Amino acid sequence: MRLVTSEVPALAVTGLSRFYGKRAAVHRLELQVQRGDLYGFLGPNGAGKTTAIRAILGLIARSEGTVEVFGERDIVRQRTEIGAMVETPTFNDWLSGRQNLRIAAAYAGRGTAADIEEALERVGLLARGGERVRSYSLGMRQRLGIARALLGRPKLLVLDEPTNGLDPRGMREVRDLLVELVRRDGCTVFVSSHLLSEVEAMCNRVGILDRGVLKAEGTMAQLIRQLGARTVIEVGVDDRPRALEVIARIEGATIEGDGADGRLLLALSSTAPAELNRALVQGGVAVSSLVPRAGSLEELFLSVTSSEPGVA
Amino acid sequence: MPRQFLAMVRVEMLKVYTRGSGIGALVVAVLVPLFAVLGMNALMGMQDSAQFNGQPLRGMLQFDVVAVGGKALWARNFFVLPLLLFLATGASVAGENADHTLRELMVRPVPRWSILLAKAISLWTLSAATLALTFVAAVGLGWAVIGGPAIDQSVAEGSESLLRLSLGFAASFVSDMALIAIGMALSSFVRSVGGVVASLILLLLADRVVWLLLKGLGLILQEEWPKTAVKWTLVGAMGCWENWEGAFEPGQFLAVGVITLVATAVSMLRFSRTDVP
Repeated sequence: MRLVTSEVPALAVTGLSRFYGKRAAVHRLELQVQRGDLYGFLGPNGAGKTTAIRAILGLIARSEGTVEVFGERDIVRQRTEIGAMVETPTFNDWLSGRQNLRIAAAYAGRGTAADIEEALERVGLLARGGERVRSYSLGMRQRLGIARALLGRPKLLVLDEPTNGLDPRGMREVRDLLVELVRRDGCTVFVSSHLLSEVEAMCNRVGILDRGVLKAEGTMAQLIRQLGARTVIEVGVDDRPRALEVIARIEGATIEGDGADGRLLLALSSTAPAELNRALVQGGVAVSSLVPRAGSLEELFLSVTSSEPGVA
Repeated sequence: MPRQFLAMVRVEMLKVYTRGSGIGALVVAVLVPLFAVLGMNALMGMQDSAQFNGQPLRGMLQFDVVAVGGKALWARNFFVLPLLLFLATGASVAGENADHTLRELMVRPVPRWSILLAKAISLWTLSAATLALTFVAAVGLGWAVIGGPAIDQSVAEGSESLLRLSLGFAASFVSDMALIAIGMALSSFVRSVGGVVASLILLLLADRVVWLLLKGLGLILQEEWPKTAVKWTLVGAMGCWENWEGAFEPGQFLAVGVITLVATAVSMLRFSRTDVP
Protein backbone atom coordinates (compact mmCIF):
# COMPACT_ATOMS: atom_id res chain seq x y z
CA MET A 1 0.00 0.00 0.00
CA ARG A 2 3.00 2.29 0.55
CA LEU A 3 3.42 4.38 -2.55
CA VAL A 4 5.92 7.13 -1.89
CA THR A 5 9.34 6.76 -0.40
CA SER A 6 11.56 9.42 0.98
CA GLU A 7 14.38 9.68 3.46
CA VAL A 8 12.44 12.06 5.70
CA PRO A 9 9.66 10.15 7.42
CA ALA A 10 6.19 11.64 7.69
CA LEU A 11 6.28 11.19 11.45
CA ALA A 12 9.31 10.45 13.59
CA VAL A 13 8.84 10.03 17.31
CA THR A 14 12.00 9.67 19.36
CA GLY A 15 12.12 8.77 23.05
CA LEU A 16 8.71 10.25 23.75
CA SER A 17 7.59 9.93 27.36
CA ARG A 18 4.79 11.40 29.37
CA PHE A 19 4.79 11.03 33.12
CA TYR A 20 1.98 11.72 35.55
CA GLY A 21 3.93 11.98 38.76
CA LYS A 22 6.18 8.93 38.73
CA ARG A 23 3.81 6.92 36.54
CA ALA A 24 4.67 6.75 32.86
CA ALA A 25 1.59 6.83 30.65
CA VAL A 26 3.91 6.66 27.64
CA HIS A 27 7.49 5.54 28.04
CA ARG A 28 10.30 6.17 25.54
CA LEU A 29 8.13 5.72 22.50
CA GLU A 30 10.01 5.30 19.23
CA LEU A 31 8.00 5.41 16.02
CA GLN A 32 8.67 6.07 12.39
CA VAL A 33 5.81 6.47 9.99
CA GLN A 34 7.04 6.65 6.42
CA ARG A 35 5.35 8.70 3.73
CA GLY A 36 2.52 6.75 2.18
CA ASP A 37 2.15 4.45 5.17
CA LEU A 38 -1.19 3.50 6.61
CA TYR A 39 0.12 2.90 10.11
CA GLY A 40 -2.00 1.12 12.69
CA PHE A 41 -1.34 2.09 16.28
CA LEU A 42 -2.74 -0.78 18.30
CA GLY A 43 -3.16 -1.33 21.99
CA PRO A 44 -5.69 -2.49 24.52
CA ASN A 45 -7.89 0.06 26.26
CA GLY A 46 -5.76 2.16 28.57
CA ALA A 47 -2.50 1.26 26.83
CA GLY A 48 -1.62 4.93 26.38
CA LYS A 49 -2.55 5.35 22.71
CA THR A 50 -4.53 8.54 23.19
CA THR A 51 -1.92 9.98 25.56
CA ALA A 52 0.75 9.26 22.96
CA ILE A 53 -1.33 10.91 20.22
CA ARG A 54 -1.98 13.94 22.42
CA ALA A 55 1.71 14.26 23.14
CA ILE A 56 2.55 13.88 19.44
CA LEU A 57 0.06 16.64 18.58
CA GLY A 58 1.30 18.87 21.40
CA LEU A 59 -2.01 18.92 23.25
CA ILE A 60 -0.20 17.80 26.38
CA ALA A 61 3.35 18.54 27.40
CA ARG A 62 5.98 15.93 26.62
CA SER A 63 8.05 14.90 29.61
CA GLU A 64 10.85 13.95 27.25
CA GLY A 65 11.47 13.11 23.63
CA THR A 66 10.99 14.76 20.27
CA VAL A 67 8.47 14.63 17.45
CA GLU A 68 9.24 15.51 13.85
CA VAL A 69 6.63 15.84 11.13
CA PHE A 70 8.18 15.75 7.66
CA GLY A 71 11.41 16.82 9.35
CA GLU A 72 9.81 19.82 11.04
CA ARG A 73 10.29 20.19 14.80
CA ASP A 74 8.34 23.40 15.43
CA ILE A 75 5.03 22.32 16.83
CA VAL A 76 2.93 25.06 15.19
CA ARG A 77 4.51 24.58 11.76
CA GLN A 78 4.11 20.81 12.11
CA ARG A 79 0.37 21.25 12.31
CA THR A 80 0.17 22.87 8.88
CA GLU A 81 0.72 19.35 7.50
CA ILE A 82 -1.51 17.48 9.95
CA GLY A 83 -5.21 16.75 10.00
CA ALA A 84 -6.19 15.25 13.34
CA MET A 85 -9.06 13.68 15.16
CA VAL A 86 -8.53 12.90 18.83
CA GLU A 87 -10.98 10.59 20.60
CA THR A 88 -14.67 11.33 20.05
CA PRO A 89 -14.85 14.47 17.92
CA THR A 90 -16.62 17.40 19.52
CA PHE A 91 -18.45 20.27 17.89
CA ASN A 92 -20.30 23.47 18.58
CA ASP A 93 -23.60 21.64 18.70
CA TRP A 94 -25.85 24.60 18.01
CA LEU A 95 -24.10 25.32 14.71
CA SER A 96 -24.45 23.32 11.52
CA GLY A 97 -21.94 20.76 10.35
CA ARG A 98 -20.92 23.14 7.57
CA GLN A 99 -20.40 26.02 10.02
CA ASN A 100 -18.27 23.78 12.22
CA LEU A 101 -16.09 22.94 9.26
CA ARG A 102 -15.88 26.64 8.47
CA ILE A 103 -14.49 27.24 11.97
CA ALA A 104 -11.91 24.50 11.50
CA ALA A 105 -10.94 25.85 8.08
CA ALA A 106 -10.48 29.35 9.48
CA TYR A 107 -8.16 28.12 12.21
CA ALA A 108 -6.30 25.83 9.84
CA GLY A 109 -5.71 28.69 7.43
CA ARG A 110 -6.64 26.36 4.60
CA GLY A 111 -9.81 24.93 3.24
CA THR A 112 -12.07 26.93 0.96
CA ALA A 113 -15.86 26.68 0.76
CA ALA A 114 -15.35 24.17 -2.06
CA ASP A 115 -13.02 22.13 0.15
CA ILE A 116 -15.69 22.07 2.86
CA GLU A 117 -18.25 20.75 0.39
CA GLU A 118 -15.78 18.15 -0.88
CA ALA A 119 -14.98 17.00 2.67
CA LEU A 120 -18.70 16.69 3.45
CA GLU A 121 -19.26 14.73 0.27
CA ARG A 122 -16.38 12.35 1.01
CA VAL A 123 -17.94 11.34 4.32
CA GLY A 124 -21.48 11.24 2.96
CA LEU A 125 -22.79 14.28 4.81
CA LEU A 126 -23.27 16.71 1.96
CA ALA A 127 -27.06 16.58 2.15
CA ARG A 128 -27.13 17.13 5.91
CA GLY A 129 -24.28 19.61 6.22
CA GLY A 130 -26.71 22.45 6.84
CA GLU A 131 -28.35 20.80 9.84
CA ARG A 132 -27.36 21.54 13.39
CA VAL A 133 -24.82 19.10 14.78
CA ARG A 134 -27.15 18.69 17.77
CA SER A 135 -29.39 16.58 15.53
CA TYR A 136 -26.53 14.32 14.32
CA SER A 137 -26.16 10.71 15.42
CA LEU A 138 -22.91 9.47 16.93
CA GLY A 139 -21.91 7.98 13.60
CA MET A 140 -22.60 11.24 11.77
CA ARG A 141 -20.50 13.14 14.28
CA GLN A 142 -17.69 10.68 13.73
CA ARG A 143 -17.94 11.22 9.98
CA LEU A 144 -17.97 14.99 10.45
CA GLY A 145 -14.87 14.66 12.62
CA ILE A 146 -13.13 12.83 9.79
CA ALA A 147 -14.30 15.49 7.32
CA ARG A 148 -12.80 18.13 9.60
CA ALA A 149 -9.49 16.28 9.70
CA LEU A 150 -9.51 16.03 5.89
CA LEU A 151 -10.00 19.78 5.36
CA GLY A 152 -7.33 21.40 3.26
CA ARG A 153 -5.84 18.06 2.21
CA PRO A 154 -3.28 17.49 4.97
CA LYS A 155 -0.26 15.34 4.17
CA LEU A 156 -0.50 13.45 7.45
CA LEU A 157 -3.73 12.29 9.05
CA VAL A 158 -3.64 11.38 12.73
CA LEU A 159 -6.86 9.64 13.71
CA ASP A 160 -7.67 8.28 17.13
CA GLU A 161 -10.20 5.44 16.95
CA PRO A 162 -11.95 6.86 13.87
CA THR A 163 -14.54 4.09 13.61
CA ASN A 164 -15.86 4.43 17.15
CA GLY A 165 -19.63 4.60 17.13
CA LEU A 166 -19.98 3.56 13.51
CA ASP A 167 -22.08 0.64 12.35
CA PRO A 168 -20.37 -2.12 10.31
CA ARG A 169 -21.18 -0.39 7.02
CA GLY A 170 -19.84 2.90 8.35
CA MET A 171 -16.68 1.20 9.60
CA ARG A 172 -16.15 -0.33 6.20
CA GLU A 173 -16.67 3.03 4.49
CA VAL A 174 -14.14 4.73 6.76
CA ARG A 175 -11.61 1.97 6.14
CA ASP A 176 -12.14 2.30 2.39
CA LEU A 177 -11.81 6.07 2.65
CA LEU A 178 -8.49 5.83 4.50
CA VAL A 179 -7.12 3.35 1.99
CA GLU A 180 -8.26 5.63 -0.82
CA LEU A 181 -6.59 8.64 0.82
CA VAL A 182 -3.31 6.78 0.87
CA ARG A 183 -3.62 5.28 -2.62
CA ARG A 184 -5.21 8.15 -4.51
CA ASP A 185 -4.08 11.24 -2.63
CA GLY A 186 -0.68 10.07 -1.40
CA CYS A 187 -1.68 10.91 2.16
CA THR A 188 0.04 9.29 5.14
CA VAL A 189 -2.33 7.96 7.78
CA PHE A 190 -1.57 7.20 11.42
CA VAL A 191 -4.58 5.54 12.94
CA SER A 192 -5.05 4.21 16.45
CA SER A 193 -7.45 1.43 17.20
CA HIS A 194 -8.14 -1.41 19.54
CA LEU A 195 -9.93 -3.30 16.77
CA LEU A 196 -7.44 -5.78 15.43
CA SER A 197 -9.48 -6.83 12.44
CA GLU A 198 -9.76 -3.22 11.35
CA VAL A 199 -6.02 -2.64 11.51
CA GLU A 200 -5.27 -5.99 9.90
CA ALA A 201 -7.62 -5.17 7.04
CA MET A 202 -6.19 -1.80 6.08
CA CYS A 203 -2.75 -1.08 7.55
CA ASN A 204 0.61 -1.91 6.02
CA ARG A 205 2.54 -1.16 9.23
CA VAL A 206 1.57 -1.72 12.81
CA GLY A 207 2.84 -0.70 16.23
CA ILE A 208 1.52 -2.37 19.36
CA LEU A 209 1.51 -0.33 22.54
CA ASP A 210 0.97 -1.83 25.98
CA ARG A 211 1.18 0.01 29.29
CA GLY A 212 2.81 2.96 27.59
CA VAL A 213 5.56 0.91 25.97
CA LEU A 214 5.82 -0.03 22.30
CA LYS A 215 5.99 -3.82 22.37
CA ALA A 216 6.18 -4.60 18.67
CA GLU A 217 6.45 -2.69 15.43
CA GLY A 218 6.81 -3.56 11.79
CA THR A 219 4.98 -4.59 8.66
CA MET A 220 2.29 -7.22 9.05
CA ALA A 221 4.63 -9.88 7.60
CA GLN A 222 7.42 -8.92 10.02
CA LEU A 223 5.11 -9.05 12.98
CA ILE A 224 3.66 -12.42 12.09
CA ARG A 225 7.20 -13.77 11.79
CA GLN A 226 7.81 -12.58 15.34
CA LEU A 227 5.32 -15.21 16.46
CA GLY A 228 8.22 -17.64 16.01
CA ALA A 229 7.91 -21.41 15.85
CA ARG A 230 4.64 -21.47 17.71
CA THR A 231 1.97 -23.29 15.68
CA VAL A 232 -1.70 -22.71 16.18
CA ILE A 233 -4.02 -25.46 15.05
CA GLU A 234 -7.71 -26.20 15.12
CA VAL A 235 -8.63 -29.82 15.85
CA GLY A 236 -12.00 -31.43 15.14
CA VAL A 237 -12.75 -34.38 17.46
CA ASP A 238 -15.72 -36.66 18.17
CA ASP A 239 -15.26 -36.81 21.97
CA ARG A 240 -14.35 -33.42 23.34
CA PRO A 241 -13.98 -34.30 27.07
CA ARG A 242 -11.79 -37.27 26.26
CA ALA A 243 -9.72 -35.16 23.86
CA LEU A 244 -9.14 -32.54 26.55
CA GLU A 245 -7.87 -35.25 28.90
CA VAL A 246 -5.45 -36.56 26.27
CA ILE A 247 -4.20 -33.11 25.28
CA ALA A 248 -3.55 -32.21 28.91
CA ARG A 249 -0.99 -35.04 29.00
CA ILE A 250 0.86 -33.92 25.85
CA GLU A 251 3.94 -31.81 26.55
CA GLY A 252 4.12 -28.69 24.40
CA ALA A 253 0.41 -28.52 23.61
CA THR A 254 -1.76 -25.79 25.12
CA ILE A 255 -5.49 -25.38 24.81
CA GLU A 256 -6.15 -21.78 23.71
CA GLY A 257 -9.92 -21.95 23.46
CA ASP A 258 -12.52 -22.71 20.84
CA GLY A 259 -11.91 -22.64 17.13
CA ALA A 260 -14.47 -22.50 14.35
CA ASP A 261 -17.30 -25.06 14.06
CA GLY A 262 -16.78 -26.48 17.54
CA ARG A 263 -13.15 -27.34 16.94
CA LEU A 264 -10.54 -27.05 19.67
CA LEU A 265 -7.92 -24.30 19.33
CA LEU A 266 -4.47 -25.48 20.34
CA ALA A 267 -1.02 -23.92 20.41
CA LEU A 268 1.84 -26.31 19.76
CA SER A 269 5.37 -25.40 20.70
CA SER A 270 7.49 -28.57 20.95
CA THR A 271 4.96 -30.96 19.44
CA ALA A 272 4.26 -31.48 15.77
CA PRO A 273 0.64 -31.73 14.53
CA ALA A 274 1.29 -35.32 13.45
CA GLU A 275 2.33 -36.27 17.01
CA LEU A 276 -0.79 -34.61 18.33
CA ASN A 277 -2.91 -36.60 15.89
CA ARG A 278 -1.22 -39.88 16.88
CA ALA A 279 -1.65 -39.17 20.60
CA LEU A 280 -5.33 -38.40 20.17
CA VAL A 281 -6.03 -41.52 18.10
CA GLN A 282 -4.09 -43.68 20.54
CA GLY A 283 -6.14 -42.11 23.33
CA GLY A 284 -9.34 -43.27 21.64
CA VAL A 285 -10.35 -39.96 20.13
CA ALA A 286 -11.39 -39.85 16.48
CA VAL A 287 -9.85 -36.81 14.74
CA SER A 288 -12.04 -35.40 11.97
CA SER A 289 -9.85 -32.43 11.03
CA LEU A 290 -6.52 -30.78 11.75
CA VAL A 291 -6.53 -27.20 10.43
CA PRO A 292 -3.37 -25.14 10.87
CA ARG A 293 -4.23 -21.50 11.46
CA ALA A 294 -2.11 -18.81 9.88
CA GLY A 295 -0.37 -16.54 12.38
CA SER A 296 -2.67 -13.61 13.00
CA LEU A 297 -2.30 -10.14 14.40
CA GLU A 298 -4.62 -11.18 17.18
CA GLU A 299 -2.21 -13.88 18.34
CA LEU A 300 0.67 -11.44 18.32
CA PHE A 301 -1.42 -8.83 20.09
CA LEU A 302 -2.39 -11.28 22.81
CA SER A 303 1.15 -12.52 23.20
CA VAL A 304 2.74 -9.07 23.64
CA THR A 305 0.07 -7.23 25.61
CA SER A 306 -0.73 -7.64 29.27
CA SER A 307 -4.09 -8.94 30.38
CA GLU A 308 -4.05 -6.58 33.35
CA PRO A 309 -5.76 -3.20 33.16
CA GLY A 310 -3.74 -0.48 31.49
CA VAL A 311 -2.27 2.62 33.01
CA ALA A 312 -3.65 5.45 30.94
CA MET B 1 0.41 36.92 14.33
CA PRO B 2 -0.98 34.04 12.22
CA ARG B 3 -2.01 35.12 8.73
CA GLN B 4 -5.44 33.58 9.31
CA PHE B 5 -6.03 35.66 12.45
CA LEU B 6 -8.88 37.74 11.01
CA ALA B 7 -10.66 34.60 9.88
CA MET B 8 -10.23 33.23 13.40
CA VAL B 9 -11.83 36.36 14.88
CA ARG B 10 -14.71 36.10 12.41
CA VAL B 11 -15.55 32.51 13.34
CA GLU B 12 -15.19 33.30 17.04
CA MET B 13 -17.71 36.10 16.51
CA LEU B 14 -20.00 33.59 14.82
CA LYS B 15 -19.87 31.46 17.97
CA VAL B 16 -20.17 34.35 20.44
CA TYR B 17 -23.15 35.93 18.68
CA THR B 18 -25.06 32.67 18.29
CA ARG B 19 -24.63 31.35 21.84
CA GLY B 20 -27.45 31.88 24.35
CA SER B 21 -25.31 34.25 26.42
CA GLY B 22 -24.50 36.39 23.38
CA ILE B 23 -28.07 36.55 22.14
CA GLY B 24 -29.23 37.26 25.70
CA ALA B 25 -26.74 40.12 26.03
CA LEU B 26 -27.99 41.71 22.80
CA VAL B 27 -31.63 41.36 23.86
CA VAL B 28 -30.96 42.83 27.31
CA ALA B 29 -29.00 45.66 25.69
CA VAL B 30 -32.21 46.70 23.89
CA LEU B 31 -34.61 45.97 26.74
CA VAL B 32 -32.69 48.06 29.26
CA PRO B 33 -33.15 51.41 27.46
CA LEU B 34 -36.72 50.46 26.57
CA PHE B 35 -37.57 50.04 30.25
CA ALA B 36 -35.58 53.15 31.13
CA VAL B 37 -37.62 55.22 28.65
CA LEU B 38 -40.93 53.73 29.74
CA GLY B 39 -40.07 54.23 33.41
CA MET B 40 -38.92 57.77 32.86
CA ASN B 41 -42.03 58.51 30.81
CA ALA B 42 -44.25 57.18 33.59
CA LEU B 43 -42.44 59.29 36.19
CA MET B 44 -42.70 62.34 33.95
CA GLY B 45 -46.44 61.87 33.75
CA MET B 46 -46.81 61.98 37.51
CA GLN B 47 -44.05 64.38 38.40
CA ASP B 48 -46.49 67.00 39.63
CA SER B 49 -48.63 64.68 41.72
CA ALA B 50 -46.06 62.19 43.03
CA GLN B 51 -43.86 62.95 45.99
CA PHE B 52 -40.73 61.43 47.48
CA ASN B 53 -39.94 62.13 51.15
CA GLY B 54 -42.61 64.80 51.08
CA GLN B 55 -41.03 66.58 48.13
CA PRO B 56 -42.60 66.67 44.66
CA LEU B 57 -40.78 64.70 41.99
CA ARG B 58 -40.55 67.80 39.82
CA GLY B 59 -37.19 69.30 40.43
CA MET B 60 -35.75 66.08 41.85
CA LEU B 61 -35.40 64.37 38.49
CA GLN B 62 -34.28 65.61 35.15
CA PHE B 63 -36.46 64.54 32.26
CA ASP B 64 -34.50 64.58 29.04
CA VAL B 65 -32.76 62.18 26.69
CA VAL B 66 -29.43 62.41 28.53
CA ALA B 67 -31.08 61.48 31.82
CA VAL B 68 -32.70 58.48 30.11
CA GLY B 69 -29.35 57.49 28.63
CA GLY B 70 -27.70 57.81 32.03
CA LYS B 71 -30.31 55.59 33.68
CA ALA B 72 -29.98 53.07 30.85
CA LEU B 73 -26.19 53.07 31.26
CA TRP B 74 -26.52 52.51 34.99
CA ALA B 75 -29.03 49.70 34.51
CA ARG B 76 -26.91 48.14 31.77
CA ASN B 77 -23.82 48.06 33.97
CA PHE B 78 -25.62 47.12 37.17
CA PHE B 79 -25.87 43.35 36.99
CA VAL B 80 -27.48 41.41 34.14
CA LEU B 81 -25.36 42.50 31.19
CA PRO B 82 -21.98 42.16 32.95
CA LEU B 83 -23.12 38.71 34.06
CA LEU B 84 -24.10 37.77 30.50
CA LEU B 85 -20.78 39.07 29.17
CA PHE B 86 -19.02 37.07 31.83
CA LEU B 87 -21.03 33.97 30.91
CA ALA B 88 -20.13 34.51 27.27
CA THR B 89 -16.45 34.70 28.27
CA GLY B 90 -16.72 31.57 30.41
CA ALA B 91 -18.53 29.69 27.63
CA SER B 92 -15.91 30.78 25.09
CA VAL B 93 -12.94 29.49 27.08
CA ALA B 94 -13.84 27.27 30.06
CA GLY B 95 -16.98 25.96 28.35
CA GLU B 96 -15.06 25.00 25.21
CA ASN B 97 -12.40 23.40 27.37
CA ALA B 98 -15.05 21.38 29.20
CA ASP B 99 -16.82 20.16 26.06
CA HIS B 100 -13.45 19.58 24.31
CA THR B 101 -14.17 21.89 21.37
CA LEU B 102 -11.13 23.91 22.44
CA ARG B 103 -9.02 20.82 21.71
CA GLU B 104 -10.14 20.93 18.09
CA LEU B 105 -8.74 24.47 17.81
CA MET B 106 -5.51 23.54 19.57
CA VAL B 107 -4.54 21.03 16.88
CA ARG B 108 -4.54 23.82 14.29
CA PRO B 109 -1.35 25.56 13.17
CA VAL B 110 -1.73 28.65 15.34
CA PRO B 111 -0.09 29.59 18.65
CA ARG B 112 -2.29 29.20 21.68
CA TRP B 113 -2.11 32.89 22.60
CA SER B 114 -3.62 33.78 19.24
CA ILE B 115 -6.64 31.57 19.96
CA LEU B 116 -7.19 33.41 23.24
CA LEU B 117 -6.72 36.80 21.56
CA ALA B 118 -9.24 35.93 18.83
CA LYS B 119 -11.72 34.98 21.52
CA ALA B 120 -11.04 38.16 23.48
CA ILE B 121 -11.56 40.36 20.42
CA SER B 122 -14.83 38.65 19.56
CA LEU B 123 -16.02 39.22 23.13
CA TRP B 124 -14.95 42.87 22.97
CA THR B 125 -17.08 43.28 19.87
CA LEU B 126 -20.03 41.81 21.79
CA SER B 127 -19.46 44.34 24.57
CA ALA B 128 -19.21 47.16 22.03
CA ALA B 129 -22.35 45.94 20.25
CA THR B 130 -24.36 45.88 23.47
CA LEU B 131 -23.14 49.35 24.42
CA ALA B 132 -23.96 50.71 20.97
CA LEU B 133 -27.41 49.11 21.04
CA THR B 134 -28.17 50.51 24.49
CA PHE B 135 -26.88 53.96 23.55
CA VAL B 136 -28.73 54.18 20.26
CA ALA B 137 -31.95 52.77 21.71
CA ALA B 138 -31.81 55.04 24.78
CA VAL B 139 -31.08 58.17 22.79
CA GLY B 140 -33.47 57.32 19.96
CA LEU B 141 -36.39 56.25 22.13
CA GLY B 142 -35.63 58.90 24.75
CA TRP B 143 -35.60 61.62 22.15
CA ALA B 144 -38.85 60.42 20.66
CA VAL B 145 -40.69 59.90 23.94
CA ILE B 146 -39.13 62.27 26.48
CA GLY B 147 -37.55 64.98 24.36
CA GLY B 148 -34.06 66.20 23.39
CA PRO B 149 -31.31 67.45 25.67
CA ALA B 150 -29.73 70.82 25.97
CA ILE B 151 -27.45 69.71 23.20
CA ASP B 152 -25.73 73.05 22.90
CA GLN B 153 -24.13 72.67 26.32
CA SER B 154 -20.38 72.30 26.18
CA VAL B 155 -18.53 69.55 28.03
CA ALA B 156 -16.94 72.11 30.31
CA GLU B 157 -20.24 73.68 31.20
CA GLY B 158 -22.62 70.89 31.56
CA SER B 159 -22.35 67.43 32.95
CA GLU B 160 -25.36 66.09 31.16
CA SER B 161 -24.58 66.44 27.54
CA LEU B 162 -24.73 63.71 24.98
CA LEU B 163 -20.97 63.91 24.67
CA ARG B 164 -20.47 63.11 28.34
CA LEU B 165 -23.02 60.35 28.08
CA SER B 166 -21.19 58.80 25.16
CA LEU B 167 -17.93 59.06 27.12
CA GLY B 168 -19.69 57.17 29.91
CA PHE B 169 -20.54 54.43 27.42
CA ALA B 170 -16.95 54.41 26.16
CA ALA B 171 -15.68 54.10 29.74
CA SER B 172 -18.03 51.16 30.20
CA PHE B 173 -16.28 49.44 27.32
CA VAL B 174 -12.98 49.77 29.20
CA SER B 175 -14.67 48.29 32.26
CA ASP B 176 -16.06 45.41 30.14
CA MET B 177 -12.58 44.69 28.79
CA ALA B 178 -11.36 44.19 32.35
CA LEU B 179 -14.35 41.95 33.10
CA ILE B 180 -13.62 39.83 30.02
CA ALA B 181 -9.92 39.63 30.90
CA ILE B 182 -10.80 38.48 34.44
CA GLY B 183 -13.22 35.93 32.97
CA MET B 184 -10.47 34.58 30.73
CA ALA B 185 -7.99 34.40 33.58
CA LEU B 186 -10.48 32.46 35.73
CA SER B 187 -11.36 30.25 32.75
CA SER B 188 -7.74 29.21 32.43
CA PHE B 189 -7.90 27.74 35.94
CA VAL B 190 -11.46 26.41 36.06
CA ARG B 191 -12.90 23.99 33.49
CA SER B 192 -16.60 24.75 33.62
CA VAL B 193 -18.75 27.82 33.08
CA GLY B 194 -20.42 27.27 36.46
CA GLY B 195 -17.02 27.09 38.11
CA VAL B 196 -15.95 30.31 36.45
CA VAL B 197 -19.08 32.13 37.66
CA ALA B 198 -18.65 30.73 41.19
CA SER B 199 -15.01 31.86 41.16
CA LEU B 200 -16.03 35.32 40.05
CA ILE B 201 -18.59 35.60 42.84
CA LEU B 202 -15.95 34.60 45.40
CA LEU B 203 -13.47 37.02 43.86
CA LEU B 204 -15.97 39.89 43.92
CA LEU B 205 -16.95 39.10 47.51
CA ALA B 206 -13.31 39.15 48.59
CA ASP B 207 -12.81 42.34 46.61
CA ARG B 208 -15.83 43.94 48.25
CA VAL B 209 -14.46 43.08 51.71
CA VAL B 210 -11.17 44.76 50.81
CA TRP B 211 -13.09 47.71 49.38
CA LEU B 212 -15.07 48.09 52.62
CA LEU B 213 -11.92 47.81 54.76
CA LEU B 214 -10.19 50.49 52.72
CA LYS B 215 -13.24 52.74 52.87
CA GLY B 216 -13.39 52.24 56.64
CA LEU B 217 -9.69 52.93 57.04
CA GLY B 218 -10.07 56.09 54.99
CA LEU B 219 -12.76 57.35 57.33
CA ILE B 220 -10.94 56.33 60.51
CA LEU B 221 -7.43 57.39 59.61
CA GLN B 222 -8.45 60.41 57.57
CA GLU B 223 -5.54 59.69 55.26
CA GLU B 224 -5.30 59.75 51.52
CA TRP B 225 -3.76 56.33 50.77
CA PRO B 226 -6.87 54.23 51.54
CA LYS B 227 -8.88 56.41 49.14
CA THR B 228 -6.25 55.88 46.45
CA ALA B 229 -6.09 52.16 47.15
CA VAL B 230 -9.88 51.83 46.79
CA LYS B 231 -9.49 52.73 43.11
CA TRP B 232 -7.31 49.63 42.67
CA THR B 233 -9.94 47.23 43.90
CA LEU B 234 -12.00 45.55 41.17
CA VAL B 235 -15.14 47.37 42.27
CA GLY B 236 -13.30 50.68 42.39
CA ALA B 237 -11.45 50.28 39.10
CA MET B 238 -14.32 48.83 37.10
CA GLY B 239 -16.59 51.61 38.23
CA CYS B 240 -14.55 53.99 36.10
CA TRP B 241 -17.64 54.80 34.02
CA GLU B 242 -19.67 55.98 37.03
CA ASN B 243 -18.30 59.50 37.04
CA TRP B 244 -19.51 60.31 33.54
CA GLU B 245 -21.66 63.13 34.86
CA GLY B 246 -18.76 64.77 36.65
CA ALA B 247 -15.05 64.40 36.14
CA PHE B 248 -13.56 61.02 35.29
CA GLU B 249 -10.89 59.74 37.68
CA PRO B 250 -7.68 58.99 35.74
CA GLY B 251 -6.54 56.73 38.60
CA GLN B 252 -9.48 54.41 38.00
CA PHE B 253 -8.62 54.08 34.32
CA LEU B 254 -5.00 53.35 35.16
CA ALA B 255 -6.16 50.69 37.63
CA VAL B 256 -8.60 49.10 35.20
CA GLY B 257 -5.91 49.07 32.53
CA VAL B 258 -3.42 47.35 34.83
CA ILE B 259 -6.06 44.80 35.93
CA THR B 260 -6.85 44.04 32.28
CA LEU B 261 -3.20 43.60 31.37
CA VAL B 262 -2.39 41.44 34.39
CA ALA B 263 -5.47 39.23 33.91
CA THR B 264 -4.67 38.87 30.19
CA ALA B 265 -1.05 37.98 30.93
CA VAL B 266 -2.11 35.41 33.53
CA SER B 267 -4.60 33.77 31.18
CA MET B 268 -2.14 33.67 28.26
CA LEU B 269 0.64 32.22 30.41
CA ARG B 270 -1.62 29.65 31.96
CA PHE B 271 -3.26 28.82 28.65
CA SER B 272 0.07 28.23 26.92
CA ARG B 273 1.14 25.66 29.52
CA THR B 274 -2.06 23.80 30.21
CA ASP B 275 -2.59 20.22 29.09
CA VAL B 276 -5.66 19.99 26.91
CA PRO B 277 -8.02 17.20 27.93
